[in-house]
Order: sequence, then C-alpha cells, then structure tokens
Amino acid sequence: MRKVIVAVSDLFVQSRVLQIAHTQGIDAEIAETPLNLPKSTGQQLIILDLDSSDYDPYQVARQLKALASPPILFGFYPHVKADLKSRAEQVGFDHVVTNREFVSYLTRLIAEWKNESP
Amino acid sequence: MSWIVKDLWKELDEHREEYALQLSRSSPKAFAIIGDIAARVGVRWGLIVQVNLPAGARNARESIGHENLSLLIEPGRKKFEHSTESEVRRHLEMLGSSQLKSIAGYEGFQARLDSGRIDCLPGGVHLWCTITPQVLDFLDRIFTNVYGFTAPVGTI
Repeated sequence: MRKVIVAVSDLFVQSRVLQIAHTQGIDAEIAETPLNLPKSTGQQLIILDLDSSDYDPYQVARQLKALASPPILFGFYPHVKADLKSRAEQVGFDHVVTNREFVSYLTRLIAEWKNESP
Repeated sequence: MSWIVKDLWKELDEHREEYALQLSRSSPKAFAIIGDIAARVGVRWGLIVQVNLPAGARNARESIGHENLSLLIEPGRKKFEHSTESEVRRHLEMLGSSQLKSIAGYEGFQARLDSGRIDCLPGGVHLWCTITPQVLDFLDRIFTNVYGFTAPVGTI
C-alpha cells in the first residue's frame, strides 16, 4: 500500500503533509527521526528536511536508496541555501523543492503518484 | 486563529450600519467604532485585535477587516517562545514568501507576498495583505505552533 512518511520534527510541516496526504486519500505517518523509518520501503514516499539539524538527510538518503526496493525521496530547503539542492540530487533525491514550492509541488506529486500504476 | 478573524468579520458585518455612513465620510467616529468592535473581539479571545486603516489604503470600505489587521499576543516580546526563528522563516516561505527581511531588535521577519506583506514577530502578526484562505490556514498553524495559542474546542 502506498504511504507518505514525513521524517521532519517541525509540527507545521508534519501537519501540512498529513493534511495533503489525507485530502488525496493516501496514508501518511510521522517518523520524527529517520531512525524510525521502516526497513521495507517499497511504494513509499519519504519526506526529508534538507536543512535538518536533527539528522544528516544525505546520509539517510544514501542508505534508503541502497535498499532493494528504494522509496521515492522528497527533500525541501530554504531558497537562500541553494547549495543543498545539488547535494540532494547527488545522493539520489527524486524531488527537491524550495520551502515556497513545498505545498503546491507535494500536492501535485501525490495526486500523480496515486494515479500511477504500481 | 482563523476563528477569531471570522468572529471579527461577523461582528463588523453585524454592526456595519453603525459605521458605514461615517466611514464613507472618512469620519474619525467610524474608525473609533471599528476599533471598539475589534477590541471587543480581542477581549473575547484573549489577545489584541486591531483593524488598521493606513492612509491611502485601497478599497478600505469594502475590505475592512479583510486586510491590514494586527493580531497581538504579547506586543514588545523580542524572542519567540515556542518556536525558533528558522521555523518561523520556513512557515512564511511555505505560505509563499520568497522575500524575507529581518526586523532590527526583534526576532521575526517582514515577509513579502503576492498580496501584500506579513510582519511576523514574537509578539504577534501584522497582516498588511489580503486575508485569503491560505493566510487563515497559516494563522491557525502559526498561532498553535509558534505562539502556543490553543484553539477552543470545536472552533477549527
């Protein structure tokens, strides 16, 4: 089953993601740190904070992308830190957006994802 | 927080006859009546509500209370109590602001939006923009997460 997992401690981001996912009828859950991320990640979209001080999103991304069935990785960053985008793309993030683009992009992405064939 | 803004809009509508004529003449009495209505709403919910009427404001009669509004919990506070400045920056960016300016002497930002500007300070917010559904949603989230303001049961 498809699921969105938000590994971000910011309550504002958590509530935003849960609202977007539930509006589209997709399951969502919160993993406040990547340590809680599931080992089986097929059919999952994982949201990581590229500017996190709680964990290293680039290291987490490398580990997740090394799994047999890697998840879709979605990262976001403040536009004033543009270097984070290229770092994220280098380690395999599938989608990288600025904070400003976050809501509209994620809404569109989940809508498209739920209509894709598994 | 959106429930407070909606309560203000309801009060302004219900009392429109008391100030509409005076407002059309730009009488100070109208501004006093509107100020009293906002103050009553603020007292009801435990914060300061101000309807601002800046000189040269466009469409002031139609848009009264729907822009140029201040919602203040603790005016003068210099640091955010329940959140960090970087989290506040993120909230404003997610609302759609790509231009944020720091405010001398305070944490917080002046955030430029397509529809105007929001000043988000540790003591509250000044909305120099059109209050859209997205702004109401932002207020609900920021007053809960940044100001620790709890919504009464059943209001959101």
